[in-house]
Amino acid sequence: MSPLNLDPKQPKKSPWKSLEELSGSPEFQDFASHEFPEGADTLGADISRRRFLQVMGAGMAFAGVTGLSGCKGIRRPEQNILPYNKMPESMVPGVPQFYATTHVLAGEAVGLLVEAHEGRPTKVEGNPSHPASRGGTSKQHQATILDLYNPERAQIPTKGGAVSSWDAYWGEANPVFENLRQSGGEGLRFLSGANASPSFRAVRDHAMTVYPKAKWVTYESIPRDNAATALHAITGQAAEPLYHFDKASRILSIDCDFLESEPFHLAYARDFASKRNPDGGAESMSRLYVVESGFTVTGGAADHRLRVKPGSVAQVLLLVARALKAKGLNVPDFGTDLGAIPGNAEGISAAWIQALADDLLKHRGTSVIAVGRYQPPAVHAIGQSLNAALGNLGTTVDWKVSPLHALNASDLAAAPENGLESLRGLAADLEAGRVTALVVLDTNPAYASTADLAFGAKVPKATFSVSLGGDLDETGAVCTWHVPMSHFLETWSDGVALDGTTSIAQPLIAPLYDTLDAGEFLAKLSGYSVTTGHEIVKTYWASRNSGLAFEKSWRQWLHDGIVTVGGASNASFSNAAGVAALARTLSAPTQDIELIFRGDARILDGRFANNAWLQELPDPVTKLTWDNALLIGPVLAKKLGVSEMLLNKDSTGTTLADYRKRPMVRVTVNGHSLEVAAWVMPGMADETALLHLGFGRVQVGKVGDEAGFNAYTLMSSASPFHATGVKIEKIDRLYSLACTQDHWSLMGRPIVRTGDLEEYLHDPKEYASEERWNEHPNEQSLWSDKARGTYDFTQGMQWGMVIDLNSCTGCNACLIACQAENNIPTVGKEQVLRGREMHWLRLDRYFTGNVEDPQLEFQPMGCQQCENAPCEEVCPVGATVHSHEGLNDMVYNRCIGTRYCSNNCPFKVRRFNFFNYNNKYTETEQMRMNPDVTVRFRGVMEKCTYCVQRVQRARIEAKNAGREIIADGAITPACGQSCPSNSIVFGNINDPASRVAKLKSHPRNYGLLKELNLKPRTSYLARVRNPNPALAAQEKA
Amino acid sequence: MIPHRDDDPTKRPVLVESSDFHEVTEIIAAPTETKLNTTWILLLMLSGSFLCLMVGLFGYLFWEGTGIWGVNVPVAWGFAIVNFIWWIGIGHAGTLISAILFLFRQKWRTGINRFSEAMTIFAVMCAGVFPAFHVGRIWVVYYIFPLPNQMAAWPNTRSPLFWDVFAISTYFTVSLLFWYMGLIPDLATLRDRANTKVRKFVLSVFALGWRGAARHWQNYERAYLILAAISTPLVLSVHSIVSFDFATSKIPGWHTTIFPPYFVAGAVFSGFALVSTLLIVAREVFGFKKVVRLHHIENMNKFMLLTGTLVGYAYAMEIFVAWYSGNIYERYAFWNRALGEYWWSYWAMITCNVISPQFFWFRWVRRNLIFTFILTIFINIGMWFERFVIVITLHADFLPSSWGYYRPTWVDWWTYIGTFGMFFSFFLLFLKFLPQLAIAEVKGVMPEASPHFHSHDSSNSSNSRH
Repeated sequence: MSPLNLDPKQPKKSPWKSLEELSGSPEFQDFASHEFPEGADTLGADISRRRFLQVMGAGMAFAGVTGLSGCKGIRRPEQNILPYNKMPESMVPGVPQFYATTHVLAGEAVGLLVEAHEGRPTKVEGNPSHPASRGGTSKQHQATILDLYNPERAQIPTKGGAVSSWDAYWGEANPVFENLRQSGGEGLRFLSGANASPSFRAVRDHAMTVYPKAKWVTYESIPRDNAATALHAITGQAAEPLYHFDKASRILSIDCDFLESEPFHLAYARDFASKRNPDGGAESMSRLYVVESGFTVTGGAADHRLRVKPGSVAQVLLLVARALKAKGLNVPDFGTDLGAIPGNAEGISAAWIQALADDLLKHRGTSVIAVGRYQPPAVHAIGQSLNAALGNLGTTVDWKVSPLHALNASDLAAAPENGLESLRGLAADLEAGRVTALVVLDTNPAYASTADLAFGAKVPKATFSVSLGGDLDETGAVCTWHVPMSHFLETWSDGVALDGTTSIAQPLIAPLYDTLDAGEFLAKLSGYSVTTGHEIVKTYWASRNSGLAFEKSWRQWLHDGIVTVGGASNASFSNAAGVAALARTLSAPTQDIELIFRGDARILDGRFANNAWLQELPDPVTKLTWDNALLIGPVLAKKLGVSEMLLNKDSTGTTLADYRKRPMVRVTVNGHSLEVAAWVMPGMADETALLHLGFGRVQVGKVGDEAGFNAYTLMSSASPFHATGVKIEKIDRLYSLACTQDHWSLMGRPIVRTGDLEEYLHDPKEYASEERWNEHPNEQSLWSDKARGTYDFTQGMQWGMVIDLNSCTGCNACLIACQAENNIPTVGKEQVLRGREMHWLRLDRYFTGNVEDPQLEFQPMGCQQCENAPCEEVCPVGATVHSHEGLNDMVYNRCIGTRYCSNNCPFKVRRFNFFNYNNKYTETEQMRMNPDVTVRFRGVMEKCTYCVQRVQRARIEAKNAGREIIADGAITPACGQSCPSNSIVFGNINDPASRVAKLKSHPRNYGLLKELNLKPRTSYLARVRNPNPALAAQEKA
Repeated sequence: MIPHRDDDPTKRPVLVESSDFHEVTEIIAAPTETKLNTTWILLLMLSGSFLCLMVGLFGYLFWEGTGIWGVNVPVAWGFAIVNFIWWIGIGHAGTLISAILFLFRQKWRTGINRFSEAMTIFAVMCAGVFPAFHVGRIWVVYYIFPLPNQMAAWPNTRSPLFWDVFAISTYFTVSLLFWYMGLIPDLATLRDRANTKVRKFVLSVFALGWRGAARHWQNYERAYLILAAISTPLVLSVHSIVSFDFATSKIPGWHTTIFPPYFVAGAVFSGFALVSTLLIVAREVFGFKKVVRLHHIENMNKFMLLTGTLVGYAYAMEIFVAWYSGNIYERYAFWNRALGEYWWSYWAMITCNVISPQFFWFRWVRRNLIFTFILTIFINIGMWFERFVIVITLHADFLPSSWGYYRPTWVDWWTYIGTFGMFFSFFLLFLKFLPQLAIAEVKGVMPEASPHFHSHDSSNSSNSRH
């Protein structure tokens, strides 16, 4: 309700705008009652026919003009600003609020803090007190905001694709379920993804009592149960390994991408980073050995990386076991004859195995053998047995028996169901017509399952089927009904993390549409005692924690995001025979080309395929956007005749129009074939190809449809993630792949400074110094800073940043956090191909060394905030200027878009709005914008601001608290806040006690392009690798 | 006092193949006084439609954004700036011929100065549209001018783009004044010959009441000299300042002190080339062979030989300095120019700019119109590539991670082609409605103009008429 009363009949309490109005003369009243002056708004009674037609004609013309879609900007849209009728508690307009919640992704619960502006969630941060987050977030967490406001979300129940209603749905479903209730649920099948919610499990248990003959199938396309299956065989308990990399001085990763794609990876990244500090001497820094076939960020972090064919990964572990046994370690009997393994298979150096085994033995109790989720249970079992034999159990490795594993199991004592096995059973039941009703809860097997199951084609054989999901996806399209599901930010739930920590998920916003979450839907379906999400969760926890104190603890749990009841215990090694049984299932390595499938680093198994932030996010290693591609090593590429795009020579022999077009290949495996673009990936194992999942969807939305190639069509359920007998042939077609970084070589430039621990300890001061790295003498300014008229940077608060290249894993979470915080638009594949991606922060990736077996270097690259900023000098209109606190500020309103600043930026970190990328948002999409950051119009330059809005917020808070100086740590830019490994430190470099100032004086600290006299405020800590001296000598030779 | 050879009409080269003032007037005035020729109309329609295309494409740009061009990050300047510098360079011949050659008393310049000055003005206009339209927010492009405003915003005087604004606007203004002033006596001649009222009226207005009085001539000569003195530094400054856009930057391949002289030499080089190209055609079509003689063409070819060699020296010196500096970024930039992804543009530039003018060492080439015509076309292409090579150096600077590739779009190409439409539309109008050569000045270099002509005449067997 507006405070201004404009009704002329009311007494004049409102402000008056003229004396005539105040006096209330009848002439004025008459005048004021007309919106427009005399004659402007009336035709008059005596209008002639001719005049009437003239006016009508003109009116039609104007209506046509304003009605043109392109001309909508001519009139400002009518908008109402309404104050709160009743002010929500503790809300101050303009001041964001943070609430703790939990995100459960494929059964992995991570505690989050979500920022809300006036009730709109706008930004996701990690919950520092949640052990799975510790303040860090993943790319997917950051990107969930975009999904919430996605206008393509499922908003209403549909039947056969036609819009329907909940009433119609229940009208049709209730009799079906009433019948099923009579029959005890005969022929009823529930299909869900992995569950981490105890309250949901309670609803599920209730449903299974109502429908006792029903079957519950749990399916996740990216496997997590291999480790649990192995540990169940070893320990007899449902357990999963939890590693403590902060205590591990030697780590062997067997195809385990624990820095990016394993459960608990955020905590692992932080733990790992904490043991990578080279200052404590040779023994305090951990050493990471990685055995893998593809190239992951964990492989990039390795001190020694052994690339082997997928089929030989297990063999490496067995060789290590044999070497350990030979050194006298009490390795359990695996049942396989270790001696019979070929000693030196292709690519596996005996010396490498020997040195590794020696190192592990020397660090008994402080080493870790981590096995990746795609490895079969046998490899997990052997790896975990070795952990036990090395005495790592209880120190660096725990076999956690947490409530989590019970949540997905039909029988609490059993191991978690094998997802694919049970899906296969369901498919058989469907095929045989044994299913009368199928209820799919937030999973999409019609797309994300192996080709031979042809699950999507079998769903219609169920008499009644319904799919609950956030998108009308492939499964929703084949079910009778698709019903919309609430986003997690609209949902009450809870989740158990790997270590047994439970946290509550509270909604940040009421459902935008008429949607239900999985618990509510199942509760309605089964007649659960309560049906709202809030009640389901709260009654569950009340039942776990009855008593008067419950309400108090409940509030505390909601506030902290952590539930204080429950917990986990550890299992111990009890059954060597179980290992032997599993080990016998290992197959021998093959000689032919092998193909592996992995979840994509961004869109995972495809569930985020319609998320434009994640689609446009460059893959951490390949830097591809909007697509996947068949990754092959240089050797195989040469063999297949597709290597011409290698080594930065991609334009040779191609015309301009063909630039960035890549050859395509036909992959044939398991009787299925797929035509896919090939991408040469240095560091891949020879004779190995890798294809990421999640792309090539057909029913997801404008963003995800037709992006990339559907890897599932090549998978077979017998061995889903590893195929042998693969045929790859070049076909006569080209495909455009949008890569954000075409050049992978450092060109011998001192940009990423890296070396060995030995060198560092020998002379830390020399290690990253200009003298060592830079032949060219530094340029000297002819002018003093004072003469140039710059601010005195020795006074007041001066902002600076240090990025530790030693702990940065290259995961890209910072990049998407920046995108969410700063309202950065996505531009689409075509624009990325043109080199116009808008990310303010890049994650530069370089390969060093041999192209077949290179090392990987990462370097986050945003605006360096140079004190002598080249961009500022050349802007003709002064649209980029320095602040007295050392920030290189952009004045969007002043920018005319000459782009000179970008040209003169030595780092090329400025981004230009070549088109109006921001004018097509729907009303819901506009809700996701951070109100503290300007949304940029076309034609202006933009770039990293060090999150100046956060600096200002901290300044206001400090001033309100009566302080002039902002405390160290009060400001964290979005990139630094999301960083799982805490690699980005920001603060006042003038305060010698601040973290950033201390790091700036660290010997590993260096600034880029120092010879240009730029004085960048962002500096880097040089990377230190810790190679095994025994192997380093050998590698040098 | 040693007599200058110019003092003796028998010893100076014959600049005009006529000894009759009236014939000269007739030759030059004729195209403006005859009926519109069908070919001319067709040509005007053709170039006019390209002009319309250019206007349309700028409208598209205004509506849609800079993204319709091929520019990106790292190559945020593309065709627009390449074309801008190219056109500005072409615009250099006019002032050089008018001002510097005037001060050096190079009388042969009178045969070509009007023509090249007109070309200068139209080329600068073509150049000017690019910096104006290439900005992201065209509607606020006036921020670049030092206009007092309530926002207290002021241009950044350290920016070479700001210097550009003044360099180009000054150059345009002075060139236009110079051109117009030179036109006044000729406009008066046309006025006096006009046979319709409208024509007479219009020409009277623009002739500013010129009566050819001695006092007029005295003022005219003085003003001409002053303008020549003002313009002379402009010839050097405009392209020097344009080169500062690159030279003052940090980018390897741009950050070099050789740029100002090298740009000026290149500008004169390309300017003369285009003057030659057009003049060779015009003297054939309009029958100016008596006034624009092979001697003129040869002199211009000598200029091209000189400036082309200077430019070649600059290319060599850039590479030497890149190597000698020991700066890895600089070295790579030049290695990459010659052997990187854009190698073809570099070698097109070398072929056209360094190799092709070397043919002008031969007198018969210099005096062969067909050869000259072909070589000038080569030079114009080569100079365009030079600017392309320089601008495109952006694609690979310091951090390999940021390297990219620039590819022009169809809009880039057609906008560039459209500026030819603009240039030729104006040029055709000039050819038709204004005296293409400076009548008064040409007459001034004829032997008959010498005060002592008649004393020679008595001893000579020359049969001149008055």
